[in-house]
Amino acid sequence: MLLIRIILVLLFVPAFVGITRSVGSRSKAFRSILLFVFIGLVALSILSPQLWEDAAQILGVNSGVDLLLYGTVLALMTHIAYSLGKFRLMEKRIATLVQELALLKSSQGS
Amino acid sequence: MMSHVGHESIVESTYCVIPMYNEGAVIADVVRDLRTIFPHVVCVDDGSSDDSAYQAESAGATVIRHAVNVGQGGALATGFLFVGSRSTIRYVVTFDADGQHDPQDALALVRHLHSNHLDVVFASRFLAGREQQIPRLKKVVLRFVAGVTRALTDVSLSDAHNGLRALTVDAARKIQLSQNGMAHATQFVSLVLQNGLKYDEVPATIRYTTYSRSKGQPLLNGINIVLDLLWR
Repeated sequence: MLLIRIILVLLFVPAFVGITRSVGSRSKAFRSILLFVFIGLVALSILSPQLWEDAAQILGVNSGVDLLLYGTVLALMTHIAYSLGKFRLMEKRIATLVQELALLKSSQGS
Repeated sequence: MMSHVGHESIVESTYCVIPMYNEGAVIADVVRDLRTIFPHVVCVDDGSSDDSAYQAESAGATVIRHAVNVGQGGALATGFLFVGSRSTIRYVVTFDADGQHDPQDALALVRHLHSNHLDVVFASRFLAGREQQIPRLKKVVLRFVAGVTRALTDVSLSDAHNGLRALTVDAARKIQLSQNGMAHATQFVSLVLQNGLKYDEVPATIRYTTYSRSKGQPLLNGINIVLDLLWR
């Protein structure tokens, strides 16, 4: 019970850091696979809620609902981290463009 | 005392870089004041929505315009790129647009840089008893940011986030800022260390006017600076 909580909490850190630092095509594919797996699991839980209960028991979590909640929070954190990483990259690209444009205009004007 | 020829030579080979954002109310006076000593002043207008660019130009500054607001670090980086391409320029001064710096202090920094063969000279409001004028809360935040900078860069500076600095053009070419926001000041210090540049600190006065207080970094910005640095 305690162990799975620690593992789940520890998962947040590499997920958050790793995803903000990697915005390439490989990590994009990895994220897509994770998303599809997660959607599949959620669909499966609608058809067979008992599966989550069984999985929760194996992992030592209180109930299937709790396990689903942990997974959802992890997926959400991952998405937020990725979006922030992407946003920072875009900011840097825009800054470079703005600087190049400003210097080009300045050299044309002088 | 430096000779007249030496003084002329120094100011003629110095370019002052002023990042500005919506400073139309004061920028003309700041440029005029600065140009009584330094003939070359470039203002990097960081996407202002007021008449900052016109005011700066009318006061005799060269103006480079960012199409959109990028941040003070980004504007400074543009200024460095601009000055770096000027073959006759040897020194660069970074100067805030809100009128809180004294041009005489800027000159003292360049002289110190020149006579001691340094790469970078930082201004400090905490040296030589000049910290008396700093508002108490501001002092706490500045000390905190200086502590964070020391922890992240291993460089011990008393006033890491002072916008007044002097550096050689070679140093400006090496200091390639990627932090566009206020955290650029800590990155600046870090890059000085990474590039093995010789540096020193010189006392300088900050004029805390009503205007500069209203335009200055909000105290909560200290937290933003730390977060920007941790999440780079």
